[in-house]
Amino acid sequence: MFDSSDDEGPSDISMIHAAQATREFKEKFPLKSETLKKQELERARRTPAVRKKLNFDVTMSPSFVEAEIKTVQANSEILERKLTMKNEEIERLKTFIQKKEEENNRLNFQKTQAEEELRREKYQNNAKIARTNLELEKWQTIGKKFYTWFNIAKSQLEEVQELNGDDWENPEKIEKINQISREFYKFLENNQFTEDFVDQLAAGSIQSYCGVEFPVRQNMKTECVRGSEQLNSTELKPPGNERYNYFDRGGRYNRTSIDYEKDEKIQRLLLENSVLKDNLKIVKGRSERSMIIEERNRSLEVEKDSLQNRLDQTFGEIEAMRMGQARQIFNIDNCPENSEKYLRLIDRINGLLIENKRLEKDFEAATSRITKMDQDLKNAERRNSHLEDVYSNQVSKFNTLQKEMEDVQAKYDTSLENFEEVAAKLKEAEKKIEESSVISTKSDGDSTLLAAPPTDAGNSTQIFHMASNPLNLAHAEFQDQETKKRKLSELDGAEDSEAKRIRQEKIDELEEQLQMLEREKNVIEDSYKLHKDLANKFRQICIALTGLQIKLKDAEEGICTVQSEYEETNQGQFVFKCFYGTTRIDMLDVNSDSSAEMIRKWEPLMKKYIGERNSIPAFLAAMTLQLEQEREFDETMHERTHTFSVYHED
Amino acid sequence: MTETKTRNSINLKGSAQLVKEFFHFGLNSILYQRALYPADSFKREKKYGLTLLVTHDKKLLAFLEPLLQQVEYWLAKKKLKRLVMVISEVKTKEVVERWQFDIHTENVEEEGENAHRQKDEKKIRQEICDVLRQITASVSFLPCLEEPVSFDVLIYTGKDTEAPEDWTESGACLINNSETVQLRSFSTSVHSMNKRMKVLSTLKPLI
Repeated sequence: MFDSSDDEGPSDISMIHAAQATREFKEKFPLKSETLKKQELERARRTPAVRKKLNFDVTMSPSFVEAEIKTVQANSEILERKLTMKNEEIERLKTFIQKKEEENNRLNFQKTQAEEELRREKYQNNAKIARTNLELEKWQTIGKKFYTWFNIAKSQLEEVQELNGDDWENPEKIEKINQISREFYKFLENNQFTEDFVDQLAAGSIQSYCGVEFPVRQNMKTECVRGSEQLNSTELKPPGNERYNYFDRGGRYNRTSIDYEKDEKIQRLLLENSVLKDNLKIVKGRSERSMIIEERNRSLEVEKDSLQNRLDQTFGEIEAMRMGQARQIFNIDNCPENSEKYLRLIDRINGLLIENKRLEKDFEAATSRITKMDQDLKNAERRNSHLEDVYSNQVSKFNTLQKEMEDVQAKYDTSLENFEEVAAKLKEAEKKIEESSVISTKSDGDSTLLAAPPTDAGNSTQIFHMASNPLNLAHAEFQDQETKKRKLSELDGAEDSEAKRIRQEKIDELEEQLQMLEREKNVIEDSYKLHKDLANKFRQICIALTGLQIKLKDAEEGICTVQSEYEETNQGQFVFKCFYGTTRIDMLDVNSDSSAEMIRKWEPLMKKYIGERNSIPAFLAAMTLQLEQEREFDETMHERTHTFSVYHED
Repeated sequence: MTETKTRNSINLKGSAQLVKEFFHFGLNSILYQRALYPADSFKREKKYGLTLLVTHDKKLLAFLEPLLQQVEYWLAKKKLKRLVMVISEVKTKEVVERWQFDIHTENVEEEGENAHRQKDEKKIRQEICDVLRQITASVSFLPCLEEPVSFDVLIYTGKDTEAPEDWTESGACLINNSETVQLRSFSTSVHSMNKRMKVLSTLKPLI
């Protein structure tokens, strides 16, 4: 399938061709460093021309431009040619790589096929080996069996050979002969057929044993005592003095009929084994070949990778060349082929430069703004931290104050409770005093009153009443009056002059209070008048400026009437309701004839300004304008003359 | 011909409202009739087909309104047993008149099947009207109160009843030597009220 000549090195022709191909390849695809060197040399050569071209006046001359255009065209043609060549080379390399890939694929396919075949062969071999091992085990057991029997027979035969004619009648010797087989089996029970032992037995040819040589004896009679059914037990019972020859009768017969068949089978198996060994050798050779193929495949892959790298390098170089060409093409100084294009390009560049400057300015402004914002942020953070400190201080102060307040509140509560207790006790004491005084005032001094108050409630009922009831209040008031009267009477009785003085002082004090109140009343009246006057003036100014007379009918509800000064009838007025605290003002329909007439008259303006524009001031202004236009000229003569002047505030 | 629909069923709450209303007008009537407050501190109000006089004195209203609210609450909770209006002399707190309203509450539940009683509201109002009319009429046989007097209202409840904060326990304020006048009663079928009036024997009724 595979030729061994593939593994050999390249031929002379191929070597020559390879050298030529590398040379051509180097020419067509030079290294990047070489290309750069060439470009440097070319640039150095052209530098004076470039310098000349930089002089804009010279380049603008038509003869110079034409020459330059021609050179540039020639250059571009050369480059285009180079580019086409490079492209062709790339295509060629691509096809080469493709071919290599196809070959690689084919080899891979063959490799997989060989691997598959090898696997199949291995499987078949394994099966054959297993079968052979089985057969071998069977034959080993057969061999063991025959070997055992042979040994038994041999030892018995040796014993028999030593027997004389009289010995056959000796039961001990016969027993000894018979004992051999039993002992041998006992020996075999403990004995094992090791591999070395088997190898030793298998050594040598089958013909190395020629059987037992028997010398001819005249008087020897052979008699077969037992039949063939006793052969396996090998228990011999010789007749009289004659020796028993095993091989002459049943033994020879057996060997010819069974042993040879076995030998044939062994021979056949050995033959099969040798065939299998040959097959194994063939398979081994095939596997070695497949390994060689795999090795070759690996080397081809390596070669493919190297080629791919070279191709990438080539692509890179081509790209670099393209870039260089593009730079050369778009270089204004080198390629002045189209002045309009250059001018457009210059304009574009100038525009871009201007835009760049503008963007830089914007960027600077943005950075300045950002720095300013940063500063503001820092200031704000500083302020914030300061405020946080202040807040935390305030919170701590608040907490301390809160605690103090709670303490004070607790103290206050306890003192209040104490006070209430004291007050209750006082009341009880007063009550008791009153009761006692009432009782004492009573002339009869009825003893029943001193007892506990009787009740009709019984045990299951309790009686409540409100603590502050009219009776208690009236009684407390009465008592106060009584105490006052008593005090006054006491004072009247004891010191008349002192009481008069006190009374006079009280009167003076009351007169002072009266005078103060009168003064306050005057001040309030003055301020009321002032406010009224001010409000009147403000109203006049509002009417003069807006032409609208606004009257607040209900200050609490916010209801006011609005009437234009230009209204002839003095009856038409609008009613508005103002909602304080909001910008909402509603126009009210007061359900009167004059109101209905007014609404009919002003409906278009209402729809326009209130409905659509949602502006009551605009509606009122429009109404004022319309009324002003409608009024007669004579009437205007009687109106106050509105003048226009400028007031300069120094 | 149109028929006037009247309510025939009454429950505990409705009865408490009716009784409270009666107390409101009853107490006001007594206060007016017994001249505890000036006549100009009362205004006329039509109720039960009568022209009744009701106070508009703020202090008095501040006393009566919470009192009657609490009375209604206790009525609705079946706690109230008796309400007594005590008229006493301001000077000595001696009880001169004692208007006693005994209240018996039927075994009515607040909710459920046993929560309603059948009685025509019109009839109840008529009974209340009669009682109020009798209060007004009682002036004719009661003596004039010459000394300055004031009044207090006592509420009799069960032992397990808790009173609000501004309420305190009180004595029965009984009159030792008293003349008793039995007055009309009325019933809402939930609450039935028996009314008695006791007068100090020194101020005997003029009958």
